[in-house]
Amino acid sequence: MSAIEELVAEFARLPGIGRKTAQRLTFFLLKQPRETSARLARAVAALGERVRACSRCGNLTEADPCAICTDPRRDGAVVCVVEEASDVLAIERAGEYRGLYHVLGGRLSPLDGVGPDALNVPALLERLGPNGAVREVIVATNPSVEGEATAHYLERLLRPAGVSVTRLARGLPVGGELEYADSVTIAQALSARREMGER
Amino acid sequence: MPLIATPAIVLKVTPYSETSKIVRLLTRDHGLVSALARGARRPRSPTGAGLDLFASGVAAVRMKPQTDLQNLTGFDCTRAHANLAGDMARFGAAAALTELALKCAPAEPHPELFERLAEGLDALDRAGSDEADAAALSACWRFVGALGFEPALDACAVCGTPVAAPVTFSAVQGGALCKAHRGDGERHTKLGEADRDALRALLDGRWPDPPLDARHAASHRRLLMTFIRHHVAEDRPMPALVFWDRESWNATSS
Ligand SMILES: [Zn+2]
Ligand SMILES: [Zn+2]
Repeated sequence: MSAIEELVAEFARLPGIGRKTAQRLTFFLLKQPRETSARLARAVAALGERVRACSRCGNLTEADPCAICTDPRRDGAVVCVVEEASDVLAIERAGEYRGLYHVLGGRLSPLDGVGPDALNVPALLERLGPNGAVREVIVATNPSVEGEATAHYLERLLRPAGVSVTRLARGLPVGGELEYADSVTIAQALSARREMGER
Repeated sequence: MPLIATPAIVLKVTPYSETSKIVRLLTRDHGLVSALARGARRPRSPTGAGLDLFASGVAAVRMKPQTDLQNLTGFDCTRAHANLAGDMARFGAAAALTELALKCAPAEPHPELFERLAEGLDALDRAGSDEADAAALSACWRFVGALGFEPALDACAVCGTPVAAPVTFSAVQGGALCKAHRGDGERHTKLGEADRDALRALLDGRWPDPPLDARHAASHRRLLMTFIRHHVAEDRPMPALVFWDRESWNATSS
């Protein structure tokens, strides 16, 4: 495979990039000074070398534990469970939340073969262990069928640990994604959160 | 490019680009359809509202000839089936039923299959916790039946000789077997009168009487799964079927 074909193939793997766009990106880089592609290559390599999942919360970070986990001003008694690290960014952007996070790395998705074993759940249970200071877990999975099912699964699992399990209030569009909700909506959904299992 | 409107059920939703989704639909009038829903990931998108797994409604699709990916221009959700996310056994069963449609339905329109899927999801969504197992099993068996694989219960699956209960049932061979075709019985299931009546009820879309307890529901699930593997799914992986069968949910859901 030629160098051009190889890069086109790599770009085409990225979400939302088809073969044509991949070719356009590749030919764009060919027309730029060599340093442009070198910088891109370095940035991509650094991503893989430096960024990893925080061993406590699963958030993406360069320092382990992450800056949120080690921030003394944050409330360690509240943990907000989200599907992806990008959801942490969305909630942080809303600027209201002062607790910690836990990133599942996905949601239950039977049709894609994603069961509970594929999610970062054991680490969450460990954080709620007998010496844990966690009082409340806010389940902030997406307001989709799979996100709701994941929330119910977590509620069943976490309830015996003696913590309060709450869910973001409705208001986020059904079938929607936290990542795309605006800050006001997220802040409202957080402040109006409700204990799960009560209808 | 003709714009069509058809009753449709959402079988799969995949994010595509920052703002769009690709959906797989089972439609009543056009069979399995893949469509791009532009802008559906935006929070206030009219197309995206309610466009979620298991939802049924009316889809507006711009059909292009000779392409696999159509354009979804609207989705008017009539039933979101929100209860299907309420417990794991129900969620797993709904996913298994959806997976049957996704992987085993023919591409051409098949209104009966569409009705079976719609009815099945509705019944599972509405069922009380004591009926959920029966609703799930019945929905899957009836879908399998509409695919053309109804198991033989009263006559031998091989030769058609009438058989009386208790019957020797072979999920592998497609149903009850007569004495001559029973062979040495690798992995056959004995179905007593009550078990056969229960299976017949499920195939007819009725809840068995007496209701299935957890142990019987599990046996029926096993039978259904073996049957699906051999007759319907063949070599296709069926992860949702495996998910549904996790002992942990089914043991605690009763
Ligand atoms: Zn962390
Ligand atoms: Zn026979």
